[in-house]
Amino acid sequence: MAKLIVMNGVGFGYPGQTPILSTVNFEINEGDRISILGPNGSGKSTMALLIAGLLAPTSGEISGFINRPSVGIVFQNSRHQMVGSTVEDDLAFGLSLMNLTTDDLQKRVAYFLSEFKLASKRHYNINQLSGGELRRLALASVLITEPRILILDEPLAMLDKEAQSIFLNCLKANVHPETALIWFDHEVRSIRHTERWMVLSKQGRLNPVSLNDLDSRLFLKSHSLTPAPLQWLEWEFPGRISGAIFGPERITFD
Amino acid sequence: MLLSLTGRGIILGLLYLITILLYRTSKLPWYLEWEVLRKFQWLLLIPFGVNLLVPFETSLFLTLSRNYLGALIILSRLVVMLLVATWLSYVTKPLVLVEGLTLLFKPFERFAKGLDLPLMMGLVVRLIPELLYESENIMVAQRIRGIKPGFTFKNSSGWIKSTIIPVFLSSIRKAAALAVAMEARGYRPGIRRGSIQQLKLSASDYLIIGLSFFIIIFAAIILFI
Amino acid sequence: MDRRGLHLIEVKSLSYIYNRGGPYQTLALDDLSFSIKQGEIIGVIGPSGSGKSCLLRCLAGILTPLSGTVLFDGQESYLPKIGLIIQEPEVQFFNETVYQEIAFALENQGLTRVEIDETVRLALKKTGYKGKTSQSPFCLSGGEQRRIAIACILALDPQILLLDEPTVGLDFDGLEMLSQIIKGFRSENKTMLIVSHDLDFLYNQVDRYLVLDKGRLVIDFTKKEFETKIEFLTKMGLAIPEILELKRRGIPEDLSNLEQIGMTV
Repeated sequence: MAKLIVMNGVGFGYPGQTPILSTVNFEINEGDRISILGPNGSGKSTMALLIAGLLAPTSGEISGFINRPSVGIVFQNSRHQMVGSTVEDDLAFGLSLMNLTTDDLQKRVAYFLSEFKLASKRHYNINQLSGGELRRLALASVLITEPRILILDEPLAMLDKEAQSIFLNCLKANVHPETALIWFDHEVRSIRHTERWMVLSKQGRLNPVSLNDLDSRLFLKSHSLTPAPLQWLEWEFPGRISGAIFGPERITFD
Repeated sequence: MLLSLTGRGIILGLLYLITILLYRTSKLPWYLEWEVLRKFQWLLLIPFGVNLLVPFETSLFLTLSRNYLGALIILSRLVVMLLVATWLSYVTKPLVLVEGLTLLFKPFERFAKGLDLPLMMGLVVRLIPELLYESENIMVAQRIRGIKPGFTFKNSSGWIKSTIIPVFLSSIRKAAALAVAMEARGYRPGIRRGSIQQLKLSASDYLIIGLSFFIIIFAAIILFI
Repeated sequence: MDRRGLHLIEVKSLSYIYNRGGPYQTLALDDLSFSIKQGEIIGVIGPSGSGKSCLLRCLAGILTPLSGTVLFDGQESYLPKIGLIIQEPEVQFFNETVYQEIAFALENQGLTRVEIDETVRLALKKTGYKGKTSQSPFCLSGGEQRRIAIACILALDPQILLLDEPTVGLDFDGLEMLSQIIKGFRSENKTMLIVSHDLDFLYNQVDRYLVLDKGRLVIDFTKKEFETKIEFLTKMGLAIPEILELKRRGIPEDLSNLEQIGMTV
């Protein structure tokens, strides 16, 4: 699989302040499904912006930076990334920046409206949408431009169960297998949807992490990560329970 | 003098007729004209009152009898402008209006390179409801902290500090976040953009343009002979 | 006076309409009735748009209901001190220091400088803030800002605290802080209503649930009765706490007394 972005010893900080990120070594390949776990203030947004090429590192280098692949970001607060005042307009915004005829533009918009179950809300003002619909719209408006890297920042936050499953379904159905997906979150249970896991520490270091680490109460506490709701069961009854991270469906009792 | 007044009267009468016609043919509720006028009553009555009394003659009766026609004409102008502008905003979606305005301004584009008018106006339309909602929340929070509702002279400093500053800050934050998001979505200043709607001139557009021209020329003739 | 057991809040047929008379009129609350005793900690849940925020605002006296009454201690005119913490309350900041921010509400009450100093100190202690009071609230991290925003309301020493989606934007440290504050309130036998979509968080904090849907109160149940309401809540699209879902699937006998063990948070 082709390498999309390679970060070598990358650091970022403002002069006179403690660096936000330091010595980050990270590779993104086509088709990756990566989780980056970290608490607020660990530099998640900075990482996202560095990957997208919207920030330049203050130390180290990022290859693929000049001819960088297209990156789409779904921000934590979906409302903050809406440009159009209606559903249709926002979807069209990303496309309007590509060289498409009005006809093609309209066709793509219609396709994505139906794929993301927003067709009936086509002319709705974005202030009339529920949280789940807004998040879906953000995802759609980012995917409509076919980015090679998709970054999600706590995409399931604030959504109820139904909205979460619709979002995840739309994600599975519409992300190209060769697109790299990077999921930032502070909740450990978000690893359920990815394959490779990394942790961003409060000092701004990025390191791969194993399931053993994520099962350890001490590890989670020292990295300020939010345990999955059932993990305390594993800690209360050591040796008797495993798989709590993956939820009630995959938990096993020994 | 009198002829031009009559002339103006005729033109205004014509405009009134056209305005009423616009409202009737657009299937807007029948009481809408009155609602609009009622909302803006002070905007209309104050200039009317001022023009009735200025220039002031030796007696009230003399003043009124000299000025009433002029004042009526001014009032009528304001009424027609108000009604037509409101009609336009009811009948056309804001973003289509913006597209239309951009088309009109196309010949002047070279004076302001990189300015993306539809986008700018679109963002205003997009952000205003959100900012209003946010300011409501801020007012709720400050009310809990003791700022009484209702802006009065006495509590104005409290209001300015506790409401206007946070709303201001919030708008800047939103604008900054939006700017980052737009860049992330590929926007660069001055970039060429396609449009989801294609505005085409149709028969009704030509009709309106022709009608407007006719009225202007008719008015010019009447006023200057 | 020992108020335990008396109905502190009685809501009768509460209704509210947004944008009354306009084209965007919406029925936010529809004939709501329930009562709350002193010391209860209650979770208000429901799909988005079900009127939860509106309910809190009516209780706090911010919105005047269209119809129905809210009685406190059985009287219509008595209004106890109610604190409402809006969603993402950090937006309300406008002062140069943390001290001024918290003192603002107290100054509006006309307290003396000495009283204000003491109250600010106490409020910061309750929220576990360990920084300087001369710090600018805008230079704090998100979690610290939330702490200060909560302190601003706790400084008013409310008998009833209303929280609107307090978990939004908080990471694990923030959730722990919130949990401590709720525990503190519980130990003082004060009353709390918490609107939240995060049932996993609520499950460990709350004794009773009010479920709203389209402005109506559809069910009112206690923590003990939760297991019987799972089907109903799932149909509404709400997430069930994972522990309950696990119990439904079956746990070995010797682990079945999980109620006795609380989560660390």
